[in-house]
Amino acid sequence: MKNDDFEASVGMTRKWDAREAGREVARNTIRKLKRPPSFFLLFSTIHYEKNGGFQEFLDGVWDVLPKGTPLIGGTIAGFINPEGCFVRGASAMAVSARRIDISLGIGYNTKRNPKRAARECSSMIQKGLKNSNYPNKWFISFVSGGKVPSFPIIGKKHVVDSFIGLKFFLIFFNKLCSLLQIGPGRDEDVLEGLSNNLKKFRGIAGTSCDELKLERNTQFFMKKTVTNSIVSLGISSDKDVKFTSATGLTPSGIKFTIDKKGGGGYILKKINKDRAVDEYLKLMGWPKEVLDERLYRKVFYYPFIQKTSNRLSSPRMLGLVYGDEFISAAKPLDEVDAEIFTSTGKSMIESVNDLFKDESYEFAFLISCGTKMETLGNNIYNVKKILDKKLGDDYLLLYVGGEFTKISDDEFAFMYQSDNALLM
Amino acid sequence: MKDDPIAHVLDDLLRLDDILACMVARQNMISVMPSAGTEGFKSEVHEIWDIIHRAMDDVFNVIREYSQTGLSEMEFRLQDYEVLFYVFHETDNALVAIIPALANKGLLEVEMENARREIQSLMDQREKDHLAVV
Repeated sequence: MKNDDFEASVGMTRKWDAREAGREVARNTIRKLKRPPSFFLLFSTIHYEKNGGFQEFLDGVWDVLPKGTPLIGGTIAGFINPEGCFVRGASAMAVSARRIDISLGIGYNTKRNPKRAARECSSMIQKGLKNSNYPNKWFISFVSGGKVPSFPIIGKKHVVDSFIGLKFFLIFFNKLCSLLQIGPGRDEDVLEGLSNNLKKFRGIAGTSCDELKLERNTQFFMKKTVTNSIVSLGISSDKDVKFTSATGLTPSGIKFTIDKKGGGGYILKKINKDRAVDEYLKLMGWPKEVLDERLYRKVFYYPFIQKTSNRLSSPRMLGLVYGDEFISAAKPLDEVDAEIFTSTGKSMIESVNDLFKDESYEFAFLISCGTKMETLGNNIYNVKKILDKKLGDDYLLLYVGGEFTKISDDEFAFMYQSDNALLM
Repeated sequence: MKDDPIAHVLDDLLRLDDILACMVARQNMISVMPSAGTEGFKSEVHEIWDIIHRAMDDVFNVIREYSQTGLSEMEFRLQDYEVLFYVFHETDNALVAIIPALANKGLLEVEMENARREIQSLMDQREKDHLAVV
């Protein structure tokens, strides 16, 4: 995308060696710009961890990128850009603009103290932009996602059968996860905190992840690799941009009430006044045998949504089964009533169309749920066809572990199974 | 064939943790192996390779029958493994991969599709070059 005042470009690499990959993605991204980049967004799949390491990868990027360029990013499950659909490699987006101010923000220990991490990050952004007078303010953020916990006796499992002491253990689940920074990402707490602190900012954010095994993830902040962090760009510009969101989900008619929670709100103990797992299986019409280590191939496609006054709906996923209780990947909202939603392959693909309505845009930066890529498999190329038709050569879509969009101070949500766009 | 570009595409695919083995094959024949041959397959596949290889030949009966009418993919599950067949357009050759049954198959399918497209392009180029010589 190019006009005299505002340019955006996308590049990528498929090299295996971390250092070479870093150099190539930076080179391929910024060579199309007429001016040095105002900021640089960098994303890679998890594979560089075992092929030189992420610090080497980032060092390769800085071998090419102009010194001091604001840079954030992280690991993701996959991406689509004009060159194709990929679950291995790296892609980046660079923006260069005349009338723009940028501020960087970072917050640490997101799983231990998400509110403080959000505060640290938003304070840095506000401080950096306090003298900026441009009318449009927005943020782009990436936050560390959840990690499947590994405990003695239990191990690293998605489904744990009941045993003596499990219920007692679950009382301490939240505290243990917080201390060790494993388990639910608390990404929604961080992002909602950031959003609440940054009034009058709109924004888009994603949860950093691996290849959807939910075992590790890394974030990039300037020349550092970090984890359990939130990294953000605050942008103040005279360019107006649009934020949109769509899910492609439809109500299934299967409703329930959340009657008892535990573990800081993450553990569903009772639904419809019965034990959560038993009642869920009954509602879904599934035998107990479906709850095995292939859990994510089932529950991720049946998120639940709770009714709120916020116009953006907020699908939540069930993450782990411990005995007869569910651990949710994101904390259910305070509302009691919930409904299971579903989607088809067709609705997942067409949901991307809903982001654009009938308007045309020069460039799009999109964030979608990684489970869509996992569900669609090679049919993801049908999503690419839509993007090619709407945007030509100017887009980057990331598949992440969780998504967040803020359209206004009253319309924002942390979601799963959604598509979200920053449109220019 | 040491410098076969198709073998290099297979080498790239095999570097993914959950691709335990891959090849280009047709019934009763493996056309192209990764550069290290079966030695390059992940070790856990070796004890089940023989039975999977036999099952593959049965699947290729179906591929041979229907590939000209648009059959593009097949798969089966055997013990703790799944075998994916990505058929090349209107041929009875396929890109075959063995993955763990618990793998995130959807993500792997994206790279299988990329490998199929790349290999198809190499095959088409070979065909063009061959016709040019003739």
